[in-house]
Amino acid sequence: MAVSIEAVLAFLDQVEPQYGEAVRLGPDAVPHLRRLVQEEDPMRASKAAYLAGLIDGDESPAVLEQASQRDEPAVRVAAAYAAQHLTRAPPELFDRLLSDYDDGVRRTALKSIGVSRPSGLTAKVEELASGDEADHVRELARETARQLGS
Amino acid sequence: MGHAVPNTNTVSAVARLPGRLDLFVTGNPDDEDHAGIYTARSNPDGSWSGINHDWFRIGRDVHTVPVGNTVAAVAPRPNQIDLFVVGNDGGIYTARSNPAGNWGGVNHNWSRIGRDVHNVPMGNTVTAIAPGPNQIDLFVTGNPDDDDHAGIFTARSNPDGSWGGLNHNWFQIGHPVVHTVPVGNTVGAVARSPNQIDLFVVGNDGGIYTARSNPDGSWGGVNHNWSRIGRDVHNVPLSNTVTAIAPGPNQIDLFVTGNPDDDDHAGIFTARSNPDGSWGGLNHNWFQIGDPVVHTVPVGNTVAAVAPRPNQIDLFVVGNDGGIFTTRSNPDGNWGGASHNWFRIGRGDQNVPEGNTVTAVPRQPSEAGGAVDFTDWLEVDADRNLAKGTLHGAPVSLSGSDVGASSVTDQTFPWFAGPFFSPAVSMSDVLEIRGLPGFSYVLTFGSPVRDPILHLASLASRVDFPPGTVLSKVSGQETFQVVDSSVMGAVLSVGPPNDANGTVRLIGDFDSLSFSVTPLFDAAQGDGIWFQVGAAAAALAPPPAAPATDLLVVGHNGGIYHTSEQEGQPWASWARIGYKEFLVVHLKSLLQIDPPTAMTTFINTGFNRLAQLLSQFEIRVFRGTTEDLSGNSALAHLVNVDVGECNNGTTDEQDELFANRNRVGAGDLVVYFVQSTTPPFGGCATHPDGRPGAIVVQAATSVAPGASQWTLAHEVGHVLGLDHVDNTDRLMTPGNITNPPPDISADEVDTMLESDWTRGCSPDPSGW
Repeated sequence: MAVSIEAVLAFLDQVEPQYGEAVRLGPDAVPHLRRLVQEEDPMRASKAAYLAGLIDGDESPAVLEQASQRDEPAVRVAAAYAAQHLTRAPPELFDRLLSDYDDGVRRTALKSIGVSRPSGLTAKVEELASGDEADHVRELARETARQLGS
Repeated sequence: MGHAVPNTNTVSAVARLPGRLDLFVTGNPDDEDHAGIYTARSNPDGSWSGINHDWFRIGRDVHTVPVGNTVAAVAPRPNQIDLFVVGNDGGIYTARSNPAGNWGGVNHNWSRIGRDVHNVPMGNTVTAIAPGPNQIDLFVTGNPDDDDHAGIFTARSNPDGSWGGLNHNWFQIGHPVVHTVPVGNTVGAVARSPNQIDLFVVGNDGGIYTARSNPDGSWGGVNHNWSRIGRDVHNVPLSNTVTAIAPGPNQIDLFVTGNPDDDDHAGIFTARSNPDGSWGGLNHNWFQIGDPVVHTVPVGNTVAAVAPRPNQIDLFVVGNDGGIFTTRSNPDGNWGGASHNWFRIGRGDQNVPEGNTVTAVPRQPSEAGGAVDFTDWLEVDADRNLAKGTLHGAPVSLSGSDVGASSVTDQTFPWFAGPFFSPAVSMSDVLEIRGLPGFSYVLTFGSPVRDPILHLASLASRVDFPPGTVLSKVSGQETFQVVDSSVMGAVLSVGPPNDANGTVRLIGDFDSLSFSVTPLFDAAQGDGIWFQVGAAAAALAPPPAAPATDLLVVGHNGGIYHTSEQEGQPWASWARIGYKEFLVVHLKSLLQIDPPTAMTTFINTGFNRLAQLLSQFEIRVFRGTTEDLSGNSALAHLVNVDVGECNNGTTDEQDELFANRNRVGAGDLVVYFVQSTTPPFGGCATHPDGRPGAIVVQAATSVAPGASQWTLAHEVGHVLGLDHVDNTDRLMTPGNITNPPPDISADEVDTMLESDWTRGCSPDPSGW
């Protein structure tokens, strides 16, 4: 069933979106979300990125890739948080997020890695555990490294 | 006080300083029979502010009077207010303000005038006038010789303002038996000069009678000079009150409701004395103002009258529908025009109980005196702690404990351009002075100045002027406060200028000013304060200022309502003084707001939207502390805070964030501003038990700025118990508000009033 942009915005333009209901829009909403993460409005882009991850459609990783390259840290944080819901998160997405200059993005990516346990990121996580400039990121990276079994 | 009084009460008001009103009313009965006496004070700009709009009780719980009594108030001097009221035992009690115009002392200085035998019927009203700075005259009907008729009694203060002498000087004006009036009547009194007082009262036959003091101020002559104004047909209902004003030394105008055309409605009648102050002419000049049938009011109503300038008299009265009506005399002082100029002030739904009395008080606006100039500081000698400058061409100097080298003498200091200072100055000179225990300063004017004003920036100290100095806050943050003869600052990290900032006016003429500066915090280096002084250009001979008139009345719901008019401007909207409830909101940001950023603007806008919105529903929102937490590395991980689904319970990160309640009261709300939430929300109002508050995400968008400015108010709405509604015109719409400012329904107002976090009185019925 086709999903209209209006139906998507009806959820995303809420102050407190009901993501649990919005996810029922399904993969047909993802093309709209892909366009929305490129919009100027960072709040709408953040919500679109998160919903794309939550829907976990075929195009969702590409939406998060776009979101992870936005200038606004809040949008990249949303992408990092959404990545935990992707069944097949591209390693380069997490790698970029873990290398982000914003400590909030790195921290949120570590949280998602702790949930989804993607492979191939142990070395990067250990690097953060030993050398990240932010105390809270180093601390979380150590915990995440332990979860990853390193 | 719950900001509601018995809804037939009358408010008393005095305007002892330009732009300032002091109100007095009996209200908030602890039991059905007895009530306390409450006061509120306006700001110099005529607005009302402070906790509960500054309503507070004068006296302790035991100082009560019969419910519904009216307080008489006079201000013989700018720094003195005297109150008079009939107490529970029928005695007449007085309280005098402290020299700064505030209330304190043992029992707030309440004391009785006269002995036990000097009682009057308990519901009576005392009339008080202050013909001069050292004289107060009281008039009251009382001590009835029979059940129905009472004499008219007076007492005069001693020359030093105290009450003493035989029976505290109480004596009866007129013959004990002959010169009586119906029990409970109120005496009208005017003083055209300290030694010439005229009284007016409705007699036993409904006639209006007057007595005039002798030229030496005493009462004597045949019948103590009592005589009737008008003929037998000029009668009014027996319990009516005559309102009298004296616009000039040779003119007295009387106003009374009377001569009812039917049992319920009465016209408004006036009489004017002859130029020599006597009464004569046809019917002693009595005539009706307005149409005999149309312009009537409920029988027994009292007319309020003011004469703000020569040849202008304004009347105010409650009409048959409870509306408040006014008329103004023509420029020649007479009455005419269509309907004799009667018109209604306010909307058709702004009604009060039909028998209520409007209180009208003329005052000088606070901006009297013309434009303010500031001192041109020419040199600062930090070694000698001495600064010299000029004000209006006359020398000015400031000496004291620490006059800093950082002072600016080249007109480049920018901070007085800010919103806290009035008048704002785009660029100014400034002196840096320092507060430490024991530090004091003397400001010396080469030529006396009247009502100087001080700009004080970055004030985290208490500035004490000599006791009795009359201060008036002109502008500034809520944390910048005048208390008696002191200015109180605050320790705040937001700025610049940080701490507290504002402008204060000192009332009076000054050759010099001395003051001490004591920090409100414990720091060895003390408190650096930016100081500037100014005064009106022609302050000692100010041009006549446009008078203003203030009206006060009690509404159906017991709320006290106010409006004002200034020359050339229409009447302001009626507004309630005092709120049903109040709420304190603190603001803490994990993003930088000091020095100011776009986030600072976002926070200020969001708070102002909330405060403005709720004030329409008589919920006052006080801004508590504003704290920049961006430098706290221990909280850096909460900049993008995990809020879970934001519907049930809180996450560990929310618990950690909401634990930050530094300088927050137990029932206060805290709004935390963050970069984002995970998952992304505009805000989230779930909060730990006992730690009320919400999270708001930074200004979300530059393309839809109107959407996010209401997020703070929306989240606070949730905290106060409101749920989402399916209406985009309403604050609690889950989506974008399409027609700002958003609406709040009556049910939602009730819900907020019932919240644990709004405090004050029980919900009142909506409207007047």
